Amino acid sequence: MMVPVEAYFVLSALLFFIGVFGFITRRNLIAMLISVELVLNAVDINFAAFNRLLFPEGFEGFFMTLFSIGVSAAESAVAIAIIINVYRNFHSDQVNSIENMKF
Amino acid sequence: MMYIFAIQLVSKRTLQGLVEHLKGSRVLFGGIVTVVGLLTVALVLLKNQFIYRACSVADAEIPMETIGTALLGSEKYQYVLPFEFISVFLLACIIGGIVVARKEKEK
Repeated sequence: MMVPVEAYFVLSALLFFIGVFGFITRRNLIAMLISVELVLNAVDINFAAFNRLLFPEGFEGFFMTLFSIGVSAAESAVAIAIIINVYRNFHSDQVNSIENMKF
Repeated sequence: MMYIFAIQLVSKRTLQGLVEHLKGSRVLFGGIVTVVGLLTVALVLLKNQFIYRACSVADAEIPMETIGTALLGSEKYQYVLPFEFISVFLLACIIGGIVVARKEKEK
C-alpha cells in the first residue's frame, strides 16, 4: 500500500509550523534551539520528497538534504557553545536577559 | 547529542523544580501565527493541480550503488568536492565550539 506523496508535504508543513510555534513561544534558549532543529528537519523532508517526485533520475535534492543535515549539526554545536557563554556572562537562560545591545 | 554534553555541565541540584512559565499572550500570538501559516500552506498545497500532474511520471527505485558513486565520484555532476569540504567544515565547527566554550583558567 503506497503512501501518497502529499502525505510527506503535509508532514513537513506540520513539523515546520510546530517548530515555529515553539520558537515564538518559548523563552529558554535551548528550547528555542530545539525548535529551530525541528524546522530544519522539516525542510530536509521537503527537499527529499520533492526530489523523488519531480526529478526521478537526478540526485540534487538528495545531496542538498545530506549537506543540510550536516550543516545543521555543525550549527547546533556552535549554538550550544554560544549558549554556554551567554549563561556564563548573564547568569540566566532566558532570551530576554540579553539586552546590552538593545535599541 | 550535544544536548547531553551540555546537560552534563550543569549539576543535578540546580535542575530541580525548574519549570518554564509560559506567558499567556505570547502563547496566543504564537498559536495564531502558527495556525494561519499552516492553513495557508495546506490550502495552497491541496488546491494546487501541479502535484497531481507531476505525479503521472512513473517513479523507479534508485539503487544505492548509484547514490554512492554520485557522492564520491569526480565527474561533472558528482559530489566529492562538497563532501570533502563539509568534512573539513564540521571539524572546524567542532573545534570552534570547543574553543568558545572552554573554561578560562584563573591566572
